[in-house]
Amino acid sequence: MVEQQLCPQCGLPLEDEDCPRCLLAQGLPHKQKLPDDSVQTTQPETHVGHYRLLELIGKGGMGVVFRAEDTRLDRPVAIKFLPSLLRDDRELFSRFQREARALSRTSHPHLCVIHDVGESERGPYLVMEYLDGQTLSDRLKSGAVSIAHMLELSIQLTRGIQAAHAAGVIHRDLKPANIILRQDGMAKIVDFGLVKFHVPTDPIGETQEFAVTKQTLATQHDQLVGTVPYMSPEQASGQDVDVRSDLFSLGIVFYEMLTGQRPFHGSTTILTIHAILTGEFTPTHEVNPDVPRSLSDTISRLLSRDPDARYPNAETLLDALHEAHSEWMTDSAVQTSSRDASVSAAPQQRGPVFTVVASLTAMAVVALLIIAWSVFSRTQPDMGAADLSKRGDNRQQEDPVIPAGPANDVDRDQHKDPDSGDLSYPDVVRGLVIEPDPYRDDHNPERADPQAAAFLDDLRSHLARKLESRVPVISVTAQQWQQSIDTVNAKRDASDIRSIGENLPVLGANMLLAVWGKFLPDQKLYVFHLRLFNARGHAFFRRGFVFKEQELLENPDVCRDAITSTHIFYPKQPEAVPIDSARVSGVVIEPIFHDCNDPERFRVVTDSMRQKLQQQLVERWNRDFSIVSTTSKKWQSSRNRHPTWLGLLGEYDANFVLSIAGKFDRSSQSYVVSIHVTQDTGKVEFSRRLVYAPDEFATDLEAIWMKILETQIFQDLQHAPGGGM
Amino acid sequence: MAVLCQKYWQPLYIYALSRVRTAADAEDLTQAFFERVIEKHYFESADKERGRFRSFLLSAFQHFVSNEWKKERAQKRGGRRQIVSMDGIGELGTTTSSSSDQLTPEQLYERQWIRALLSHVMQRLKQEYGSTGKETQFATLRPFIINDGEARFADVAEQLQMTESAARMATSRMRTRYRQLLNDEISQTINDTDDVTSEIQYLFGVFES
Repeated sequence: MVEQQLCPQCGLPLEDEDCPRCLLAQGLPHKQKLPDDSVQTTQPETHVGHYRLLELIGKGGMGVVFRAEDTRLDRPVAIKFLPSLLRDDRELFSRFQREARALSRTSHPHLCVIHDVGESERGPYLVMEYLDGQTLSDRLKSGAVSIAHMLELSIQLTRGIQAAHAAGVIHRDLKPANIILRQDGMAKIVDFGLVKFHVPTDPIGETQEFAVTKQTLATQHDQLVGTVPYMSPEQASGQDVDVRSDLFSLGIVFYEMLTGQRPFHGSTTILTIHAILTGEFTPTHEVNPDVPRSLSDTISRLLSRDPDARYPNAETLLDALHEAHSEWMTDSAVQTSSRDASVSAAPQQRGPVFTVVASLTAMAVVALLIIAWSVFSRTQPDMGAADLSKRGDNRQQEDPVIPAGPANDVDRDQHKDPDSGDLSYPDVVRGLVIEPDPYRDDHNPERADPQAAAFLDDLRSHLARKLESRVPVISVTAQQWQQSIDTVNAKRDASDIRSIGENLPVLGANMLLAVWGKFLPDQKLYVFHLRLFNARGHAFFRRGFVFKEQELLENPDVCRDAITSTHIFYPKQPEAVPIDSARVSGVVIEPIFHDCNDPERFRVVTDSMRQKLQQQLVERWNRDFSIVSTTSKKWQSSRNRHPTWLGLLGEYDANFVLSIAGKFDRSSQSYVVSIHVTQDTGKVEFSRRLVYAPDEFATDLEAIWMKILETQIFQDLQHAPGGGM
Repeated sequence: MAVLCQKYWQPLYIYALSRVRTAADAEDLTQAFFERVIEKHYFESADKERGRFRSFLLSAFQHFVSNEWKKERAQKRGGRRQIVSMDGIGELGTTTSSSSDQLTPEQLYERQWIRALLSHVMQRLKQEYGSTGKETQFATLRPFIINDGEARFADVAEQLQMTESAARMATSRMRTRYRQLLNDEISQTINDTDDVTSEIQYLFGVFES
């Protein structure tokens, strides 16, 4: 038997001359770098301790990184090895150890987590969490990020660096290439190979030790350490640095996120250093006029040449960013609601404005029928959706602005939806415009169908009501829409629906929901389209629905529900997944939302659950995280100040919300308790529903909360390493 | 059209192989499908509603296999056929391996699809180098598209009679051009709004299982 040849790069069994996986990797912007001769000995599919090496995912001066599997805990990890040829380099080895020590001293959701260190035949290695995403550097290749997204990221990064500083670690090499944006939206600071330790209680005081060298950028007192375009003036001039040097680098990263360019640049390294030392740059708001002045000023202060003129520490920077974030969200909301009011007050008119035409081929209809079938097969909205909808409806009165959770759910859906388009811009949804129907066919009245028009009117108003609980929704008339386009974008061709998305800011929104439909007389079918465009005009969600004529005419409500129960409008009920307790730095127990025909009884039960739960979390698992149980009033007041989960959780020094909600379901005559754990990114980490018969609910409280404690999430916390017992 | 048939013949053939008993039947089936494609202008309509062309083609083929082919085969066996040129398709029936045995027909199809796409990209690159008289340079540097080979640049430079830094530069240019061509080919098989990077990541994952 002939032994199968394996790719020397990635270990894939070869059938051709070239390895297809390695050839594909060459097409990636953040391409999977391949090992050189110095690391050929580290073949894939081999084991190091209880880690199984799977593939090489990165290579740099400081080592090679493999994606690997922790066979004991069955989780993906990243393992960093020192390059074989450099293992004897004492300085590099020392630097490698430095990274291990630095990472072990820090534990924060926005810093790369270290799981383990070890020594193998191939030399020392670090086991870190595996981060699936792209670098900020790669992201910036496609241009600046939105202000809302920048604010979210900047707060995350500042939190991370705040934790590092608190642990006595100065990063010294903060740059977009060292920031990973995970697919769920979370930013992580990586590469602690150049860190320096300092005494955290004295941010500008003496250091305990100095860093060691890299071949090109050394670390002696008078030499450069870091990456030139992101260096602070004191770093670029070889002076000693403190935490404020990191803040300067963050300022450059923030500037680049908003403008797509760096504040200090030169055609050569020397000229770049000169620009940094001179300290002259164009303020952010002058490069990008959309940037609020306060945010621009914050960045300018970070970029002060004199460290004393900068923020003294990450905490004060975080305060400034929170303030800027709140201002931005408030401004957006005010802008939106004022426009919303004016728009709502205007009479509904529809004019022959849109010339967008899409011809549906027979092939597309077949595809749509298949999709519609799958939607119809779950025509009844699932319990979770209904439950969340209900909660949302009630919160509507309290919350003028809603957290970013749904946006992230939308983004998460994109990743899974085979129809999805641009996945790289997880913007926060700050408003939604429902586009007037361009398919009403006012151009061709003989083709217009009053039934379809009436159905669409009902559908749109239904969706507006549903969505308004989470994001401000503006439903515009065709005339208003056109005016907005004409005003803002007179030179553009408004017939292209992709350019329409770029006009959303004038309506105070960044998402466009387009719903339209038409009747195919020859097939007696109604075809409806749903599309969601982001501000760049990318249609990242598309779905088609096809109804038989009779179906629509006889049961319009059923057809409408088939569309409005589309998962994009609801946070998806995820699979119960083990929670990684290492990432839980704190938990906020959300006040319980009471909604049943026996509120008093329910309050007693849920309060009891909450107290027991809190007690159990602290006593049994003794985790080193904060648990905050809030009152409704405190929760709401915090929500008003911090309209996103991120800000809200920061307020409580936590990164997870544990919510227990319940209601009485009249149709099934049962009590339904829902448990959700939501990350600060808005992603639902865990979701479980428990249903009780009225008798059971009325009599056996102890059994009920015990059952909750038996759910997977708490078991996982209990058994997780570090969870303790 | 001829190019399209050549590019996609083999992936569909591999899929067909996993569905029928003999290589001859698979070949027959694939050939019949392409006849239908040409008759009915499937590719033209696919171009308008492109989506992921890979998926479109497979579902069209699956549809063809389940509904049309038996009838087609009965009627047309031995009849006149519009023959699709198989030049460049490569040797058939040799790709099944032990690892392939565990794959589903769809996975086999996707893997073969990727191979055909990569082969086409490499062919384009070779032609470009050939058109400027750089066949030797292409042949020498080709392995370095996926292999950094830092330690061997001196040898390569000597072979190509250029300096080591010039060889590095030439390799870097070849990689860049390869990347551009790969991105170009992939972008032709997905929606305009789709992200080529995501598609590559997806295709990359096809080999993970």
